[in-house]
Amino acid sequence: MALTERNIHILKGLRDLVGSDYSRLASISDALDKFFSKYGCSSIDTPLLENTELFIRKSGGAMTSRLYTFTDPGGQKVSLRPEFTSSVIRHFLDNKNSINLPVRYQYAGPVFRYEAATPGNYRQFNQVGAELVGSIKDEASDDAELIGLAIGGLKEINIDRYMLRIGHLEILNELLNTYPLSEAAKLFIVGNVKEIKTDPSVVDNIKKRAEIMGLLRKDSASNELYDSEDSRDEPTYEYILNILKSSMPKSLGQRTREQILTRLMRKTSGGDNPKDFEDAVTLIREVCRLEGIPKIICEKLRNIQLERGITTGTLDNICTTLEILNRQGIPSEQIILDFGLVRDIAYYTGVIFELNCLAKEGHVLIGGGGRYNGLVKALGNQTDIPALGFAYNLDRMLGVINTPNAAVIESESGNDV
Amino acid sequence: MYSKSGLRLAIPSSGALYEPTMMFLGSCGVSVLRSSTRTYTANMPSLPGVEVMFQRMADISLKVEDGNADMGIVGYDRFLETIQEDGNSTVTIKNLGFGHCDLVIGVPDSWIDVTSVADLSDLSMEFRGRGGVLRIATKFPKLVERFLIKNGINYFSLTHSSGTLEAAPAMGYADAIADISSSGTTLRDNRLKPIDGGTIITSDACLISNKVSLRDDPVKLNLANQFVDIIDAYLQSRHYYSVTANMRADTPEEVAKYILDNPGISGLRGPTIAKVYTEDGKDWFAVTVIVEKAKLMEAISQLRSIGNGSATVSQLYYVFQAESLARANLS
Repeated sequence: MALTERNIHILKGLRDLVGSDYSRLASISDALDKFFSKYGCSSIDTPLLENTELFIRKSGGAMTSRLYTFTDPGGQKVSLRPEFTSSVIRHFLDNKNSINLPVRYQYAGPVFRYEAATPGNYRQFNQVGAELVGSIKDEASDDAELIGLAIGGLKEINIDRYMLRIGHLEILNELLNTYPLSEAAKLFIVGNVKEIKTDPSVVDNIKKRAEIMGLLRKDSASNELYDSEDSRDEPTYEYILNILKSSMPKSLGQRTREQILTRLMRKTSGGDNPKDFEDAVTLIREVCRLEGIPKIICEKLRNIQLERGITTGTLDNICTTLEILNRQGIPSEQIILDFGLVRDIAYYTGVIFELNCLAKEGHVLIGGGGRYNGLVKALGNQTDIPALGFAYNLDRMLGVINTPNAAVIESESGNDV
Repeated sequence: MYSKSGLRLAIPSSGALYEPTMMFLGSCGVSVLRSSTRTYTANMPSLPGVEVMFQRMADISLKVEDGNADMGIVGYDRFLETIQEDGNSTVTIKNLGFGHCDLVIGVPDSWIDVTSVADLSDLSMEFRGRGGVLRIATKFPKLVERFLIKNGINYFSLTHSSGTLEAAPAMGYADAIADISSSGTTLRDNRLKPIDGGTIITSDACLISNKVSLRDDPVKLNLANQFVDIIDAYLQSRHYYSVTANMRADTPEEVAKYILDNPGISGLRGPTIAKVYTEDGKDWFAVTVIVEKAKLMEAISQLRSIGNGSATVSQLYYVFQAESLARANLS
């Protein structure tokens, strides 16, 4: 059959919203819009298309690989938005002189992620969310306020039996800072938390990968050489450089010999001690497997922190956030504290959270968010401005509401190891 | 172009895969009869109804996808580069046993600081810091882009080139290349080197089909089944020998028991046992089993240890399995 004779069907992973699904989705969106407005959020709609750079600068590889990216007729590389946060911050930066802080935004609309097309998982789905840029009171209170708002939205549309899972990225960073590791090695460990949490043979695997990436020293015998780097013999260093220069093939492309050699010297003089790396991964594994009833988990983490002489400031903040949430009437049996919680988007820096609901297909993630204090600066501001936000996946919510026996997820307090 | 009469098979008209494809089909027993190198269609005398179309390598996947050909033989790399998600074409046999090559990243020899993909990722950030961008020339933009992003390389630009890629860095329009390499010689000759983790895909010649055009036409589907069956049987036969050994025993059951107790010599399903009539009237049996090539000597020594007799080994032409995965791929 030739191309012209074939029927044209809807693209994989996309759907037409019709009939009751259409009106239910619209009414959920309306209800949330009214609720957020009452709370003082101003509405914003951003373009579907943005400069690709906006999304790749801080989102990380996991999100980048799911972007719908193409070159527009003018030759610019553009992407369909995979989320709203980057666009909202871009708007804020474009107009920051006329905006008073703190400012609360709310938004609703479709986002696009090229992911495996599985039932209930669409490549275009609708998000409703809110962002807080700037600080209202202090970090712990602001965190609680925003998480409270996310829960309030669920109640507004009659999803009472949710499960709130809270984590905090700073906890892992504080622990990693007790080891003399490079930033690259720490980022590498944090980037692999999911695997570290679930894979029992992770320490060896991850060490091997770090070695391949050149993050670790090859062997301990050469430690002395590296440790004496501060007192490096400059004439010898120059001598080595000159030998390399003379024996190097002619440089091709846009790199000069000097640039190549500078990078080579940086690469060979770096590398972390494999033992420190291994110890760090082992500790991170222990901590990111802490998951369960907040009170118990907090206590366990506090002991680990005290053992290692880490100040418990961040943990105290988490406890304050949890107390405020409790006072707001969020039952503690609907909260799981999980220090191994990570989100796919790499711009989060502090508290992160996920909202789950039980449907016939199992646990359904219907929303999530967190604090992203570094994003404003990464997108071009001179100074950092604290910010946090969350979004619901409306299409998944619709699935949950359509399920007659939407029930609470069994408390996972048994997994608090 | 659309014909209901027969099965249209597109194969390379020239280039690195032309000769091997013709030889492969000949070895399978389905030779292609091409009257001259200037004709672009041919027949397959042992499978009347199959029309062979000679096409440019780059066009074969497209011809199969749009239904102008029903099946095709093409490099797996080329197929993956062209395939559309949710499209009509599918891989029927992934590895035909020839046309092996790797799609690899090559960087200039002079980059003595770059030995792995992690280095390339770091370097792309360095380029960006200086206001530049890492430029990679390739004929496989889709596969290369996916690979780079998966490996954390977000800042790059791909230069599409269909000519001599290897010269791109020397000519200055790219910093590195991603191209097909079967031995690495071309890379070396052009002062380029591969890097650790820089193999984007490993590829062999593969058989692809348009599942819709086959599904909709019973005549074509029948021909396709026969064609796939004979190729699959030929490929299967490459893994096995037929071994016949003479053994001493009192009964055929005794021989069967021993053979079945030793998985290494029990064959695909079990031994065939026949009585051997000898002059001295003693009980000898001939046992025939199919043995994996890699386990031949192990099987021979096991057979000798009981039978104390001789063995002959022969090459198989075809192994038609009761259930063929390749045929299942067609439907």
